[in-house]
Amino acid sequence: MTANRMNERRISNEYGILGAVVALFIFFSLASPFFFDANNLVNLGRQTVLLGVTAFAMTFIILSGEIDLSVGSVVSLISIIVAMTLRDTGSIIGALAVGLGAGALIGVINGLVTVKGHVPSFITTLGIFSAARGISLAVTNSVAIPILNEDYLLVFQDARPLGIAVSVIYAVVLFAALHFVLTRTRFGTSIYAIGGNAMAARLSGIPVDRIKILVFVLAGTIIGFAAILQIARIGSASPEVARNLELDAIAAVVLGGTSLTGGRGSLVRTIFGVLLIGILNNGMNLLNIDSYFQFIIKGAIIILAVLIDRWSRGRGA
Amino acid sequence: MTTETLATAPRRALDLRIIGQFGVIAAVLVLIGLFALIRPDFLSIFFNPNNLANIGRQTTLLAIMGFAMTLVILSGEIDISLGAIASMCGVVMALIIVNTGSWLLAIPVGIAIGAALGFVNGFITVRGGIPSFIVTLGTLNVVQGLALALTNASTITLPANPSINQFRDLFARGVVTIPATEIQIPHPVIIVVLLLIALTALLTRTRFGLNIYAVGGGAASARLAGIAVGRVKIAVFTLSGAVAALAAVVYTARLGNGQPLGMIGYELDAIAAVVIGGTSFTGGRGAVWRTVLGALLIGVLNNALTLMNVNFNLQLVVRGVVIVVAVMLDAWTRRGTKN
Amino acid sequence: MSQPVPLVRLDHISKAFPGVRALDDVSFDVLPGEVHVLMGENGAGKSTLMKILSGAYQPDSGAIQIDGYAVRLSDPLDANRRGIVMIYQELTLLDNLDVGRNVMLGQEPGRGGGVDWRALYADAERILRDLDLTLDVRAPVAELNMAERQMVEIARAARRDPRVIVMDEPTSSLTQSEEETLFALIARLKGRGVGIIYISHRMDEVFRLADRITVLRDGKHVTTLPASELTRAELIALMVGREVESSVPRGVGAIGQIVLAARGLSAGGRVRDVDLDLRAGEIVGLAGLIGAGRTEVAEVLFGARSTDMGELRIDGQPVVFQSPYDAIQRGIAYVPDDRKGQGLVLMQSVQTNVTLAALERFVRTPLLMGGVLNGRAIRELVEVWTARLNIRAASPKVNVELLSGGNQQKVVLAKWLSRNPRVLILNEPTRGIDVGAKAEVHALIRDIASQGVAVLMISSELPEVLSVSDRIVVMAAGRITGEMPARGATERAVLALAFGDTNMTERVS
Repeated sequence: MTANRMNERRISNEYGILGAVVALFIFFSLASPFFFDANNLVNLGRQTVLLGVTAFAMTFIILSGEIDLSVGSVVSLISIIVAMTLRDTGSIIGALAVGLGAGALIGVINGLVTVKGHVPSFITTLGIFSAARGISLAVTNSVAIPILNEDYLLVFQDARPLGIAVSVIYAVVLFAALHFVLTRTRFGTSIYAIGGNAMAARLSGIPVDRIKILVFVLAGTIIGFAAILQIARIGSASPEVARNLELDAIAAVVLGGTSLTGGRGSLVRTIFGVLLIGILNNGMNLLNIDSYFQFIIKGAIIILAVLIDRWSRGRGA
Repeated sequence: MTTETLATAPRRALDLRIIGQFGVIAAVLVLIGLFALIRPDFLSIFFNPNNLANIGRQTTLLAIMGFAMTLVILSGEIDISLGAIASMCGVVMALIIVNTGSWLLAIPVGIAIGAALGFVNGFITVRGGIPSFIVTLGTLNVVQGLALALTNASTITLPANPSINQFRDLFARGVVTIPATEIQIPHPVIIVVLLLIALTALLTRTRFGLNIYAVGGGAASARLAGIAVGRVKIAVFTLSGAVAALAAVVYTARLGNGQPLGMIGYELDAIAAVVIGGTSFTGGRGAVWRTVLGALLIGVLNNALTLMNVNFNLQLVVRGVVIVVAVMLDAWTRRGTKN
Repeated sequence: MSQPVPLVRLDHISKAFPGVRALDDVSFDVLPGEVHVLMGENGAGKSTLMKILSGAYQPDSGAIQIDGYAVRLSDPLDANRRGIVMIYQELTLLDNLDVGRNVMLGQEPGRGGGVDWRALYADAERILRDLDLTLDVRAPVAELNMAERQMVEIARAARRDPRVIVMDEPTSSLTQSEEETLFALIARLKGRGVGIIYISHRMDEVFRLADRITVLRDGKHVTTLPASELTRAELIALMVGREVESSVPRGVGAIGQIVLAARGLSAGGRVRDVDLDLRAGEIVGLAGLIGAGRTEVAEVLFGARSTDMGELRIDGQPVVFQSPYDAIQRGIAYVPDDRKGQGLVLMQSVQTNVTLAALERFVRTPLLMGGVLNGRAIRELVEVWTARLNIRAASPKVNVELLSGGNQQKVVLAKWLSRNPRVLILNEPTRGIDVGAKAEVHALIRDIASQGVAVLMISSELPEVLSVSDRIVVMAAGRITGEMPARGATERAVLALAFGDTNMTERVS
C-alpha cells in the first residue's frame, strides 16, 4: 500500500466526523430558530466545557493504552471537596489548590494500582468509580452543597471577557497546552509509543511505568479542574452530578476517531467528538425533544458514527 | 516474546492461582473474624438462618446478572447494557401483567425481549466490527430511552390479586423449608442453583460451550479451525440477554412493580462478581460457579457491613476496594509464571 | 510412465495490487507425497501465491485445480475444507486450552450439540501416536515450548487428512534436535501421500528435504526443478538474479580494550555463572541451542532482566542496571529477535521509530514534560540514517508496518546506531530476511565493528556465526561451554559444544 493511500484514508477519517459535526450544526440551525443565536452558542460552549475537559483527560489515558471509568464519580467527589473548602475557608486559591491536588492524588492512586499492582485499568477505575461514589454519598448524605461565593462564580463561570464565556477560554487554553505537550514533547511521543507497543517502548529505554503513572496524574489533575469549572456552572456540588460522564467522555473520544487500543488518535479528533455530542444535546433540548428520545438518539448516533467510521476505514483494510 | 524464554514450573502456576483465589475468601473470613471480635454476638446474628436466607435473597439478583455477564466475558466481549436490558424487560413484563393480568404470558415475552435486545448487541458487534464496549454503550442509551418512553418515566405497579401474589411468591418471596430443620431456602436461590446447573452443563458438555471458550481464547485461531466465531458471539449475547431477563423476573416479582431504570448499575456489579470470582477478564478462562463465588463474597461482605451498622454508602467503597484487591491478587499470582 | 495427478495446481496465476504486480503468470503444482520447496527473496511473490492457494486472496487471472478438477476457493475456511492447510510462523493455538482440545479444535466428536470428551481425548491421543509424538493430551498448551506447540499445530493439521500442508519457515524457532523431529514428521506425512509446500531460506534444510524446488523472482516464475539438479550457488543466483558474495570477507580490524565485562552472571536458572568479555571492534558470535540462555544473557547485559548474582563492569567500573534505560545511558544497544513485538512500534512512522531510543537528544528546551522536541533535527537525522542504511520507504512518515522485513530490521538498527553505542547486542539479526538483505546486514555489522563498537551477535544459523564473528562463544543450558576464534572453527565443533558434549558424531551440515 502506498503512502498516498494511507493519507487518503486518514483524511477521510477526520473529515468523516467533522462532516457529521457540520451536518448536525446546519441541521439544527435550520430546524430551530433558537440554535444559531449568539446567546445559545455561548451556552453551547459552556455546556460542552465539562465534557470537553474531561474528554481531554480521557484522550491521554486512552492513547497510553488504558481507560478510566471513574471520571464521573471522581468529578462529583472533587466538586464536593472543593465546595466544602470554599464554604469553610472562602479562599478561591485554596479551593483551586484542593481541587487540582485531589485530582492529582486520585490520579496517583489510579496509576500506582494499575501500573505497579498490575491490575487492568478497567478494573482499577471501576473500583475507584464505586468507591468515589460511595464517599460522595456518605460525606454529603445526598444533600447538595450550594456555591455562594460570588467571586468564585465570576472567575470560573460568569465572566465574559470579549464576550466569550470564560470557561470556554479556559478550555481552549487547556487544549492548546495539552495539544502542544502531546505532539511536540518527549512526553507526548513516549505516550504514543507506549500505547502502540509498550514492550518495544521499554526496550527503547522509555520509562514506561513512570510515564503511565504520570498520564494518570495529569488526567486526574485535569479532571480536578473540570470539577472546579462544573460547580461554578451549576452553582452547587452534589453526588448526583456527572452521572454517565465517563461514558460520554469515552464516547466523545472514540467518536473522534481515537483508537480504544491505544497509540492512535489526537486531541483534535476528540474535539470533534465532543462537539458532536455537545451540539446534539443542545439542539435536541432546543427542539424540545423528550429526554427519553435524547437517550435513544444519542445511543443511535454513537453506533452510527462508529459504523460509518469503520465503513470508511474498512475499505482495503 | 522470544522463543528462548520458556515457561517453566507449571505446577507452581496452578497452586498460586488457587492461593490467589483463596486469598479473597481468606480476606473476607478475616474480616468476619474481626467483626466477631468487635461485636461478640456478631457470629450468632450472622449465621442466623434468617440472615443467611437474607444473604441468599440479596445475592440472587447479582448472581443471575453475573451469569449473564460471565457468558459474555468468557467469549471475549463485554456488555454494559445488561442493566438497561433487564430494566426494559421488567417494565415490559409489568405492563403485560397490568394490561392482561397474565404473568404466564408476561414471562416468556420478557425473556424474548431480553434475547432480542441481546441479539441486537451481538449482531452490531459482529457485523459492524465495532468493539462491544462501544456498541453496548450505544444500546445502553437507546434501551434506557425506550424504557423511559414506554413508561413515561413512571413506575408500573402490579395489582395485588391472588394470581399476582402467586407470581410473586413463586419467583421472589416463597421459601422451601428443609424438613426437620429450620433452614429455609428462598425460591430465588433455587432459581440460581438451577441456572447454575443448566449453564455449567451448557458450557462444559455442549459444542456451543466448547466454542465459547475457544472463541474467548483466540477468535482468530478459532476461526481458522472452522468455528463460526460470529455466530457463537451473537448467540452468546442473545443468551445473556435472556438470562438478564430472568433476573428482571425475580426483580419485578420481589418489588411488585416495574421501574424503567430499576436495574441500571447492575451490570457493573455483575462485572465485579465475575472478576472477583476469578474468571479472566480477557476471555476464555473461567466458569459460572466462580461467579456464584464472587456474588457470594460481595453479598457476605455487604451483609456483614450492614450488620455492623456501617454506612450504606461506605459499602460502595468497600466493594470498590475488594474488586481491585481481588484482581491484584489474581494478577500477582499469575505474574510469577508468565514469560 | 504416467504423470501422477497433482494434488493442487495453480495455473498461470496473476495478481496485482495498486501500484505493484505481485504475481505474473505463475504456475505451480504439488504432487502426492512430495516436498516442494518454494524459494525467493522477500517480495518475490511467495506469500501472495500462498495466500491465493489458501483462499485468502482471489487471483486476477488463472485457475486453481484440486486433484485435477477446477475449483474456486472462496475463503480460507473453504480451502481448509478442501484439504489445504497452512501452518504459519505465528501459530494459532489457543493458550487457554489443553493439547487435546487444540488438536481437535473445530472437529470435536459428539452427537447433536453435545461433546463426547472421552472420544475427544482418545482421538487426540491416537492422532499424536500416529505421528510418533509423545505429548500429554491434557497438558495446557500454555506450558509447552515452541517446538511442542508446532507439533500440536501440525497434529491438528494432520487430523483433517489434508491434501497439502504449507509450512512457512517452520524451523526458525527450533533447535537442531527439534528440527529432526519435524523432518521425521514430514517424512511420515509424505508416506501418507500428503503434499508439502515448504518455504525456507535455509539452504541446508532445503537440500535435505526438497524433492522439487521452485524459484520465484519479482513475481515471476523462474524455474521448477528437481532438487538433485540444482546447486546452492545456482539457487542463490536464480533467486537474486545477480552475483552475491556468499560470505562476507573477514577483515582484520583492530580489536581494542574490554568495554563490557560480565563475571559470574546468574539469573533464575536460565543463566548460570556466565563470564563474558566484549572488546571494542570485536564481533563475538554467541551460539547455542534454543533454551541455552543466550537471549537471557543479552537481556541481563541490557538491563532488561535482573540477576541473582554476578557483576557487570564497563571500562573496568562496576555498574548496575535497573532497567534498559540505564544500560542505554551507558552506551549499550539491543536489537531483539522479535522485531515486530519488541523492536518496533508498528503503527508509528519510520521517523518516530528511528528516534525512539534517543528522544532526550532532540530536546530543544528542557521544559516540563520531558522537553520540547526539535523537529528539524529529528528529520535531518532520519534522512542521514535512511541513506546510510539504504532503508527503502516511501517517506519517513510512513508507518513501519508497511515496510518489508529487511527494511524493518534496518529501522531498528538505525534506531540504535544513531546513538553511537559502544556495545551493540544483536539477537538473530537476519531472521526472516531474504538473501540479498542478509548480505547487506552482515556487511553492516562488520562495518560497525570496524568503527570500534563491541558487537555481540546471537545467532542460530551456524554459517552466519562462522562467517561474521571474530570469536565464537558457545552456551548450553545456561552455561558457557566453550570459546574459540572463528578462523578455523567448524560447524561441527560449535555444535558439539552447543550440545555440551565433545563426543558428538558427525552431523550433516
